Amino acid sequence: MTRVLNNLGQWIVVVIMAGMMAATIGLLMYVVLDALRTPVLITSVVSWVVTAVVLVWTVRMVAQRVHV
Amino acid sequence: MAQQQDHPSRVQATFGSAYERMTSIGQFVEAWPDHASRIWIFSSIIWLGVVDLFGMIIASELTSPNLFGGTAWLEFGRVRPLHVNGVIFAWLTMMYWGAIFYVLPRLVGTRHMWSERLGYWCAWLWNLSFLLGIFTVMNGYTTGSEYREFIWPVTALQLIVWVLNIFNVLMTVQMRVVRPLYVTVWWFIASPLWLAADIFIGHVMWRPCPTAGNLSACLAEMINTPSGALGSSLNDAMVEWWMSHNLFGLWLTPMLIALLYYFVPRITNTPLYSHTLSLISFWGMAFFYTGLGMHHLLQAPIPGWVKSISTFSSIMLLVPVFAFGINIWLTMRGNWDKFFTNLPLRFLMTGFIFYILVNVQGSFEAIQPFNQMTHFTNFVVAHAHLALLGAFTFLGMGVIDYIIPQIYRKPMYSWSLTNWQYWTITIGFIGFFLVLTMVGFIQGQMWAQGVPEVNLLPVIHPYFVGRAVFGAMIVISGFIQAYNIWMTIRVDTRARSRQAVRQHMQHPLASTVIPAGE
Repeated sequence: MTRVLNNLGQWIVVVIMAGMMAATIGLLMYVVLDALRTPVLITSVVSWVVTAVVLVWTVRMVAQRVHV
Repeated sequence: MAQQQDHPSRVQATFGSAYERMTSIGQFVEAWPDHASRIWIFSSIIWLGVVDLFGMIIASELTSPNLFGGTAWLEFGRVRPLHVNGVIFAWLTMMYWGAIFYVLPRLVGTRHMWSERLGYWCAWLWNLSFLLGIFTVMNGYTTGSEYREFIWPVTALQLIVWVLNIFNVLMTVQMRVVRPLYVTVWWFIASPLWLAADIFIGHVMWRPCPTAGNLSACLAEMINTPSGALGSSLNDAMVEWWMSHNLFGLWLTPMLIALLYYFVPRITNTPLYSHTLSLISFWGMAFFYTGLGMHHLLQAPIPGWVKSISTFSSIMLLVPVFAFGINIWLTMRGNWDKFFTNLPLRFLMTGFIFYILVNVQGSFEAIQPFNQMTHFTNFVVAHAHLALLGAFTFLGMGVIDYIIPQIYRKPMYSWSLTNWQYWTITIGFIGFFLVLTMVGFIQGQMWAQGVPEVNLLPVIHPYFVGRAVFGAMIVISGFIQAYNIWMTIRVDTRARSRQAVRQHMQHPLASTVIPAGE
């Protein structure tokens, strides 16, 4: 039980950290596209897609390297 | 006899081979529990990511004001205090306490803190207090007073934890084996005491509800008071800025000095150059730093003598700063090769250089004509980042990259990643600093010429985009460190390191020199 909770806690930390990094990249994408006068809809969609891709990629990368 | 023969193999099983017992800095690793240190350090690493993200959010809002469509809890006015308080109290303060709990037992000759358990639970309480702070500020419950936005109950909880930590430190010093106190321990004793007094006075803690007549009204006032307990007055502003600058002068700076006095001699394996200089820096800081907070109010109608004292103190502060600077510089004499080969030392010394720069810059900012040109501009924001990011965050990253391999008694997962971390934050920070400094001069000049703000904003917009881009590099650097530390703990880095050395030695051009950091 302790092991399960421990693993769960560690996964939560991984997902939170990966989520924050993805949010950073997503915000950066938004700022750059917005500065280039890209239409708001395209800016938003691209930023969200980039955020999601970075999130999934980061969690997968960590999961592949270490068995949490 | 059999037990004696078995001894080396048992030592190896526990602590690794002779090579593994040597870390990147060649220090023999012994067993300290470090329970308290770990939890403070881990928390600080996570908080660095969180508070940097807050910074990224507000940097993005400055270029794209409609980014979050007016979502109240993500407004600039709510996230900015969380970024500032988070950097000081969540990231740096937790890193500092982790470092204190790591360094202090080693300096006073004990095997652990007086109570590792107390230190451990204090870390959780501190985390809880900051979570409460985030929740309250995001929901609009704030004193609205810069650097002390958290409402009274949150600050009270933090003060309780703070006092418990002080008690833990003092009891550890009391049970010490090594009788003489190294200068780092002086700072460890004095600085938390100073800051406790600073917070207690600066937050006017003895007046949680100045006007309420009964308990329920008092509770309502505690969480809804829109300004400091002394009311919206110049007196309150003076107390506020006295308190705010003392956060730097009585906590952040002393701890940087204390930790450099420990880590630089430790890593370079060189004694501190001068004990006398360290005394000058200690007493000089204690004397001059408390007087300079009012230089934030040089453009405000406060008494002239207060301004004079703050300007005088700001300039005189350079004496203890240079005493400290010379001491570290001369301790490094003959050891600069390690700056290029030892990454924790590189972080520490980069933080040191930025620290000297920020002090020189700060003293000049306290001179009236210069202050007139830079006050309220982004020059001040650049200065604050030179301190909190350039000096203290670089130091913190070096401290963490040094401590984690020591605590876990195994090499870092990847020194290459640490190298990336270093260059990402270095380039990101220098770009960020230069951009903000330029914006500051533009603002100062245009305001002096009477240009309306609305005409100024389009001029500085491209710079703010640059600020966001460089800011993202800084945030990413923190995540690189978090990943590296995570992998160091989770992966068998000893085997990995052995394999790396083996591969290096098999290379036809290999020398007997181990790659840097490995």
